[in-house]
Amino acid sequence: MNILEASNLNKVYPGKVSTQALTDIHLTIAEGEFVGIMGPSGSGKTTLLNMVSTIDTPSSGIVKIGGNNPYTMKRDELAKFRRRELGFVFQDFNLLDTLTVAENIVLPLTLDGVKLKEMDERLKQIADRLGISEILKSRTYEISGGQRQRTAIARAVITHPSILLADEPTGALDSNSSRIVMESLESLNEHERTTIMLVTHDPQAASYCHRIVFIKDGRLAAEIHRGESRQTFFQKIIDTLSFWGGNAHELSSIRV
Amino acid sequence: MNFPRFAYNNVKRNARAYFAYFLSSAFMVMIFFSFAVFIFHPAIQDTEMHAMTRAGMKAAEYVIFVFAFFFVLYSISVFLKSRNKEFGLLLMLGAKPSQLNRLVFLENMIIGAGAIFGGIGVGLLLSKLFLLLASRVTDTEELPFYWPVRAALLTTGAFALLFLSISVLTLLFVRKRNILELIQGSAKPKKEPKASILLALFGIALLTVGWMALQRESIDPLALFVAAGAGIAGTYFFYSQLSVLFMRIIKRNRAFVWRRTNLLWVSELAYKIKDNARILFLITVVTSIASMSVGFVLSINQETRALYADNPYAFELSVSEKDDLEADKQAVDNFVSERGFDNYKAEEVREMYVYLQGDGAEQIGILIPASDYTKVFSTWETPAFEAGGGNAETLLLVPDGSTWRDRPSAGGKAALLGTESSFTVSDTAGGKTFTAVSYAPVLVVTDEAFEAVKKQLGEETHASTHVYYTVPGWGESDTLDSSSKEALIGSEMQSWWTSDQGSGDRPISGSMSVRSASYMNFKQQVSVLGFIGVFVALMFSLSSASFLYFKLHSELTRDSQMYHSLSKTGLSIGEMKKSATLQIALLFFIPIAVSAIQTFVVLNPILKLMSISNVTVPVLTTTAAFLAAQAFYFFIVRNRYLNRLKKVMV
Repeated sequence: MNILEASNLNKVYPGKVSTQALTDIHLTIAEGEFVGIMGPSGSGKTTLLNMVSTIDTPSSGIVKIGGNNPYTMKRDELAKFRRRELGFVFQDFNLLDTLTVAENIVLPLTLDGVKLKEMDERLKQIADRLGISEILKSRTYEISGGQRQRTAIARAVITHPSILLADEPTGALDSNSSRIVMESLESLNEHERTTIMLVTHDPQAASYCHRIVFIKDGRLAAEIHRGESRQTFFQKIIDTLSFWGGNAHELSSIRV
Repeated sequence: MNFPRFAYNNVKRNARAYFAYFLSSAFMVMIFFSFAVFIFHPAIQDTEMHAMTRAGMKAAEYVIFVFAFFFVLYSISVFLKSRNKEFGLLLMLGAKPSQLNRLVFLENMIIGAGAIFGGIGVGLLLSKLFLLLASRVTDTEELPFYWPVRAALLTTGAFALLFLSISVLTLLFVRKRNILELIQGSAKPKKEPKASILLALFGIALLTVGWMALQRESIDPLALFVAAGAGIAGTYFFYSQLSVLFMRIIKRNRAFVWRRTNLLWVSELAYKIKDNARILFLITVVTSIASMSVGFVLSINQETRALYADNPYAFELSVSEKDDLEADKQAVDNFVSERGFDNYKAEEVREMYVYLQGDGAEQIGILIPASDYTKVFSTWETPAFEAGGGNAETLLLVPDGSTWRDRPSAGGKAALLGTESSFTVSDTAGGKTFTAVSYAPVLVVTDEAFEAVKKQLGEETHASTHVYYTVPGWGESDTLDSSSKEALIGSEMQSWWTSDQGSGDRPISGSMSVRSASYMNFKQQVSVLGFIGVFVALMFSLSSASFLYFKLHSELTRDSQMYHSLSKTGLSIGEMKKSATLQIALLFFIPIAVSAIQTFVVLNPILKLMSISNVTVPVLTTTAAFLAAQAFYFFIVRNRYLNRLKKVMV
């Protein structure tokens, strides 16, 4: 079953000089898949993610998530839809520093009016899975970047969304924290069959995906699939990047 | 481009950022100035209440100034915080700290000068408008407009000093930060404040002391001072300590906090509580002072109305010389019948002033013989006198709100000074009609006892005869229209009997008390006071609302960031509204509730002391008015705030 179906997506930013940000994008993500979106800066990765996350409307084309077209919904319905069907992970975590880790994680559930007991159960389960049970009572500024990102992931998946959308989740992390965060995502994908769409610059992070879609100048450029070994996949990503990226300095962001 | 030029351009081109700060400063100047216009107003300086009202207005002006100081200080600290990035950049480009200080100082003075001129300009318009409105409302002649040179000078001087001292103070804000901290700005989250049980107890103790100071039997200025000091300090601890404790307790209740939007607003409140506590404190103090002044005025106003509505007699003649009684009665009769009223009713009552034995000071009292009392008791709405116990018994009538503390109750003894007479009190009574008729306690005794006391006092007898007149059709409504027959004739009568005072050629030898005239006179005096009270309240309520607006405005950037990211993860607009509205509502309405309680607690004993017993109605009226005004501001501010937040919701 396909969780995400995007067909014929176009996005034009009007203005004195109108910009064609996305051209004719087709993208399908099946349930349980772990898909990466890569491309150079300004290629349209984030625009695509915004379409999928219903934050921005496409100029033409259709986005369906779990069979629903979110762009026909009213604003409040849409907010509920985002809360229940989509999970978000951002580069800068977007945690509320007025809340504890536990409170940040259960926030979407409290907004939905879930019972306290159920919240506690789900919280415990997800915190164990992501290894953050020890810090549940801490405030967000007392924990490390990797812990913050895992808190954000926990918040994103505690509602059991149809799809988890991650926008550069390792962008602000050191290599060790990046590894732990990516392993958390991988384990969620493996054990909970969470569908994940990951937008990233980082080939190391991308190498955890099953499939990577490359975008350049708003168009689909390439697609590669992971075989058995992550190491070979990583090499394949680098090759594709240097082929499609064209410029050597595009590789400068690689961390190994 | 030299340095002052740079500062000037900085202000000019960055007008949006400076606007809120400028506006709030100009607003305080405007309030201060319009108030000063009144203090120096020639018409107000000439009134009889002059000394008292001026003292009150001066006190209010001081309060406004102190409030303005904190307000401007708060505004500028918020404003500077929002510009940390800019300062960091300037330092990075190699500006010396002293140059930065000069920049801030110059900017401040530019804005300050603008605020002073702008505030005075708008204040001129506002005070004219208020002068016009007030005279309409209070039924007095219009206070003329004048060029308030002294008020303008005072305002300019006071605020120049204020901006100067605040500019110097702000140098302390900007100092001692390194560039990184400045550029990262407010990224560092604040720690949640801690409350100390000891300080909380201290706050409760202070409030108790303030309360106790007001519960004593006599309130002297010292007690008032202690009550005000302890009350204000106690209020501060109430907010800064008890609110933190309170939030702690709420947060412990997970079933409540983890429900819907509660998690959002509770945590936001807890996070901002220290800032909020200070603001709530300032606004509570200001609102309390305002509602006390209005409540006080309203109570007096109500008392004025009672002066007319409760008094059954249109006028009253009192004659001490027995021989003059008939002549005076005839003169009054002629005066009234000439004006077409001959169906009046007159009741004659013999009265004698006596001094009653008390613990402390002597209490003045009035002795009335039973035979005269029977003529009036039904009008006075007091019980009949039955001299079952003979000459040694008395019926004691005490006006409501009398300050006579060691008064005997039924069965007690009342001894008269200068005589051997002592009476057993058979019954006591009072009531509002009696209170309106007599200002002193009345002892009803048998005619024999009356004569006996008179004989004993001999030469020192202060005996007189009072004639109480009722005129049909007069005094039937609760208020007196200044164009009614009673008012017109009343004022004529007042000037008639007071004419040629001192010369031998007086129309009557006794004295008169005319209900409508004394009512009108009192009303005139009270209306000036009322007018000032309402003005104080209006100014205070406006300034506290603008303070709240500024606070919310300064938090808008941070809040819109938060709601923006929350909306991405699925916070609906309705939920945002709920959470934000609740927080704003608490800021707006908690001070009103607390100040209502404070007003009641403070005004109750003070007005009791002034023999004004009904405090509840004026306080409730005041609170309701403040609530209405605050609700009005609340809806405006909330809508503006929510509209701004709505824009960031995806």
